[in-house]
Order: sequence, then structure tokens, then C-alpha cells
Amino acid sequence: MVENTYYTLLASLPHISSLFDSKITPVSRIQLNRRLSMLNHDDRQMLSAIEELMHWSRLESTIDEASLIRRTARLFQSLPGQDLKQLIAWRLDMRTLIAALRRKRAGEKAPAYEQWSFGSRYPYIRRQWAHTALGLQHSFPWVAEASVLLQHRKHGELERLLLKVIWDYLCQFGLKHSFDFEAVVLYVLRWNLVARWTSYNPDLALEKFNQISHQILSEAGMDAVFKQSTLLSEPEASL
Amino acid sequence: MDTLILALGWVGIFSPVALGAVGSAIGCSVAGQAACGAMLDVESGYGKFIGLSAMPSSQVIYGIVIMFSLNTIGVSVNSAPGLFGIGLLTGIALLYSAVYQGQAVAAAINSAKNKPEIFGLSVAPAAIVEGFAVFAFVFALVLGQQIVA
Repeated sequence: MVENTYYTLLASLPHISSLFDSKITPVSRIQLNRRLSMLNHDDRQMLSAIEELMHWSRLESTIDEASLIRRTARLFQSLPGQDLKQLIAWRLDMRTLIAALRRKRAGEKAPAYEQWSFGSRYPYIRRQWAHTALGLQHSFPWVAEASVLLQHRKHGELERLLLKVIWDYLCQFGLKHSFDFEAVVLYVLRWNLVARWTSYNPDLALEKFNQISHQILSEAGMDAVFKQSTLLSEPEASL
Repeated sequence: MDTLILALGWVGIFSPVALGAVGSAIGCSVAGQAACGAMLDVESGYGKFIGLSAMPSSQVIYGIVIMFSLNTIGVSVNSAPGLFGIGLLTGIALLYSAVYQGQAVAAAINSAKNKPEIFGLSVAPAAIVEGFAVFAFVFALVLGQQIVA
């Protein structure tokens, strides 16, 4: 009649109150994994597959686009429950939308082949390629804003907008689920968002950028240019 | 035919206890599991979580009282239909109220764990569910008095 594991697990997880106000994750990944070990084997496998799908950093680096689409379709079919399918489909549609906007920004034409992405709306997006908001301004009200931000190369603001959209959707979705597998998936997805947001560090990013630039320019024998560009970027970075 | 009617009368007498016990077991289990989970996340206040998780046990107590009350009437061909109707329906009411009270308690534990100051308020939904169980209990006793032996 009831799945008791979910009650113990979800009650043992600390509340995640907000995304942008978080300074650290409410629980470490090690501790989270320890708690998630309360799930049965099938649930653990499914959760792991969903996380793999949602976070490409967990995928092997050699995987190509066609394999990823096939794997996604396979996983999507195996998802338990309509609500979970709806959640994952929405997230995949969002990915497809952003990919389409980026392709359009780069001046690419509509994909020539039909199975060009995943989710539930990629054929529609392909047909509506010429439309500014890809014809989805009603289903995805944020698309128009994202398109403008992308056009103006405001990548930081775009990232923030996308994170907010995902966070709001997950919070809305969470109202329907309290103590079930969907609630566990939602918690982990929200935890991942907080982990991503709290890992953003402008100083570290600048250092990494300089390091990569230095490496590339050194390889090209343009070290002097790098030194000059680094010196020029320092006053801006301190702002 | 009379034997069947008498058997149904006994089913009616024992239903409040049996179904109440099933409901209380599920409700206490759900609430208890949430309490155990909450204890992993907090550093103090374990007692109030465990105490709260025992809340759905009241339904089986109501069931026992109803059973004794109906049993005093005695099972006969005349009384059995009344005993069956009142006993079985009260048992179902106690079962569901205990299960859902357990879920309400689990939600209360989860909320109060994150925000201790709302502990009292968070128990209110579970207390309201308890009220419905009390309705079933009281009116089962009242109606039971009208069954003719």
C-alpha cells in the first residue's frame, strides 16, 4: 500500500530552500549518495540513468550525438510513471530549444535530417525554424527572452534565466509529489542545480580562461600577445 | 442461511479492531519511517518525532472499545445485520483515517524538522484526521445502542 523507503529517505534529506541564495549545497554529494543507498536496486539504477541524461558531464566523452539520442529514447521509454516522463520530456525539450537557438545564432539552417534532437518537440521546432521563438513562445514563455540574451551575447544572464526556469518548473512539479520516487528525482535534480550554481566562481573562471588562452597562444608562438591581453584584462577583472 | 447471518454478525463485531489494527500499523509505520529519516538530519528533538509517529495508533484503540460495546449486544439473527453494517463501516473508516493520518504525520515531521517553530501547526492536519476517526467511533457507539438483540 505504501513505499516506506521514500518516507525515510526524503525525511532524512535537508530542505533546499532557494537556488540563487544558496552558498553551499545543503548536503554533500557523499552524504547524499549515502542516503540514496536506501533506495532499492531498480530505483537506484533509474535515478542514475536520469542523472546521466540530465548531466552530460557524467557521460563518457566518446559518445556521439546519434548514440546520445538513441540512449535518451531508450531511457525515456523505461521511465516509470507519466509524471516523470512529462518532467524529463520538458527538460529535453528545453535542451533542444537552446540548441536550436544557438544553431540559429551561428547562422545554421534547419537540420536536414528528421531525428536531429530529442524530447517531444524537435520535429515541430525544425518546421518552425524561421520563427524567432521557434513557434513555442506560448508553451515556453522564456524562449523569446533567451533568444534576445543569446543574440546580445549576454551568456551570464542567459544562464541565470535558464536556471531560474528549471528551478521554478521543478518547484511547481514538486507540489504534486511528497513521498515517492518522483520526489526523490526532484530532490536530486534540485540538488544538482544548487551544486552547479554554488560552484560558479568568476575568479576561478578568469584564471582558467587565462590558463587556456596562454596554452593556445603559446602553442601558436604568440606569448607576447597573451601577456599584453592578461595585463589589460586585470583592471576589468578587479571591477 | 442463519449461520451465514450469524457469521456476518461476528465479522461486524471484530471488524473495527482488525481493520483499525491494519490502519494503525500502516499509519504508524509510515510516520515512524519519516521520524527515523528526520532523526538522521537533526541533532536534537528526537523524542517529539517518535512521539508524533505513534499518533495513528489511536484508531485501533477506538476499534477495541467498539468491539466490546457491540459484543455486549450479543450475536443473534436479529442483531447480526446491524452489527455487520456498523462494525464493518466503522472499521473501514478507522483503517483509512489511520493510513492518511500516518501520511499527514510524516509530512508534519518533514516540515517541523526543517522549521522547528511550526511543529505545533504542522500537527494540525493530522489532528483534523483524528477528528474524523473520533466521529466514526462516537457514532458507532451511539448507533450500536439501538441494535436489538
